[in-house]
Amino acid sequence: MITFIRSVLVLLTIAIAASAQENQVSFTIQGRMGDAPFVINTMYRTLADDLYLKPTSLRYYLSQISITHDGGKVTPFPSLYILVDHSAPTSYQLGTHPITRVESITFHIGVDSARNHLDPATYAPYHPLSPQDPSMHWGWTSGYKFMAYNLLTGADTAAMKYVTEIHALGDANYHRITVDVPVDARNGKVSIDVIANLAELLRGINVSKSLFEHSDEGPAKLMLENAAQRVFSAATTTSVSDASFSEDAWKEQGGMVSIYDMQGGLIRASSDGVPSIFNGLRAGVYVVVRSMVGRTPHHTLYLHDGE
Amino acid sequence: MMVSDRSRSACLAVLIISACCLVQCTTTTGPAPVAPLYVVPNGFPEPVFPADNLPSAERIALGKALFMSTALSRTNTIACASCHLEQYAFADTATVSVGVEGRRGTRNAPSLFNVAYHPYYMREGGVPTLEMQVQVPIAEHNEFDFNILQVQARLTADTSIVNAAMRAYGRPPDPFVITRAIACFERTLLSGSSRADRQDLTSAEQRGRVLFESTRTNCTSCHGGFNYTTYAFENNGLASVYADSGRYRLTRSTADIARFKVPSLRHVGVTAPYMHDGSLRTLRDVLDHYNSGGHLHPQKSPLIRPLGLTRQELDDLEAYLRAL
Repeated sequence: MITFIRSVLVLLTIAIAASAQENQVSFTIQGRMGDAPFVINTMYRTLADDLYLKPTSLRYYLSQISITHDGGKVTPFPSLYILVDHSAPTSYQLGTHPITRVESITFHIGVDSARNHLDPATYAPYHPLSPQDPSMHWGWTSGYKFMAYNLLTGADTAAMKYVTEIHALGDANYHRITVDVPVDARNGKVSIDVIANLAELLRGINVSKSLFEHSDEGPAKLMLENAAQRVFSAATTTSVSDASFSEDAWKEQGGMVSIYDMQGGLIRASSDGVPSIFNGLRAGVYVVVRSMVGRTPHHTLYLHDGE
Repeated sequence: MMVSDRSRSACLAVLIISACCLVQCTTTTGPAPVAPLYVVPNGFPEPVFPADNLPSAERIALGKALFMSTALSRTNTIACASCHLEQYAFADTATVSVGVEGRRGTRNAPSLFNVAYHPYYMREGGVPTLEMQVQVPIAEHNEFDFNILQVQARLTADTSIVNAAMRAYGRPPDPFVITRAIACFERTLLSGSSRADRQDLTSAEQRGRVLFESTRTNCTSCHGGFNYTTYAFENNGLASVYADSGRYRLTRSTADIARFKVPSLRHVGVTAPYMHDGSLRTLRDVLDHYNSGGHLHPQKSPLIRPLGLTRQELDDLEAYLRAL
């Protein structure tokens, strides 16, 4: 009996010690177009500054994700597949892990060859690799679209007449990306924030006319190379300026502003009567939702450095 | 000749499908003779069904219903059966298949008989299973131009389909059920016991058979085996320049430019037009092509060269092909 109690106590001690090192890990991708937040259906200038560009959808897979932490330890997430959709919040809970000091995060754009050619219909509904609408799978190649970017371009904002669809796939275009993200656990949480400067996706790709490239070569191949080499970097701690958004002007039009944390909890709303919804906000990453009767709510990721 | 062959094909297909229906119809009326779900022709191996899609009368019946259903296309106008016509060995009579809103595809729809035995699907061979092949026309712009989740939503509104799906797979008509059921049905489209199999040939057909199996024509180098295909990828010199890059679009290997999966010759008498693009209208056009040696192409098979067949020999060969 004494031996049993002793064993239980030892196990409890081990469990407590282990759990003390466990932290909730989240991974956030902040879409940007240069310095501005990347927001679907928003007008931007192209890299060459010679055209207007309006993204209408951007989705891509992340797979073979791993985190290097605490002196070179590697925690892999071999069964984790993320379908990043930049028309929705792009923050992902990775679970609780013994990670206290992150050094880098590694991921691949696309789906690894071992899974790329399996049958989507065999996955449970809502699994990222199950059938999607719009589809992220190409039947005749039995492979997933690694990245699907749809946009409009034009010489002026009133005439966005050119349509571009670049849907990129192919095992040969499956690239590994590592982003150094030095970040420590705080209050039981580890937030890995990565900036995706999505303006770089189109570097070297001519979108001055309509372009349909659904393939593994040409502009599709180049877009994935750009994604691997130019797009991702660690988030800085400076706040994101949302130049396209004036809180006061929005409220004068009858609009509402709400701020949510990355777990979806409502932090505050302009209906609370605060002069500015951002005053006194603690440092962190938030989702800012602008809504107005009769219009589709507008989501923006907001990195706040505290005041 | 054409009419009788087409009739034979149609009768065979009807027999197969009737056999499937017989099982379904008799299961609720007490003891009854157990009809087979499908009949494996003499000399054929047993088709392999995947573990997650073993056949049952309910599954085959549901698959047949979905195969015939226009609900799989965006405009609710096109079904699998629109291009895979039962009376033509589940092939199409159109040069290239026509999808929603009259959109023309780029390839001729092949026969579905004996697809259970194919090691891969599509002309370039990029689809490993029948279940995955089902997803191709649903999504293709020039075919159904739809999304399988929207097919699911449409089918879920049909109580009879939902009930059939529950009976067959124990789950509603989701992508798993849609793809499994149609594939299950297609695996039962077995056809053999032709006059060539039974060696019930006229003297002209027998002469044609000798030619077919001779090293003079080398037909069986590509069209060998019980299904008259090796399933290899070949360039038969159909053109000097191809609009369709064939297997190259899958592998990106220049050696695969304009190489296509060798089709089965079963029921070839009723599956006109011919070739991947339906560009040869008659069986005699096909024979004339091979007799000429085809066009120059870097990837053309060395087996394709002038044959020097006489008119009588071509007649004999054609007669034999119509008996397959």
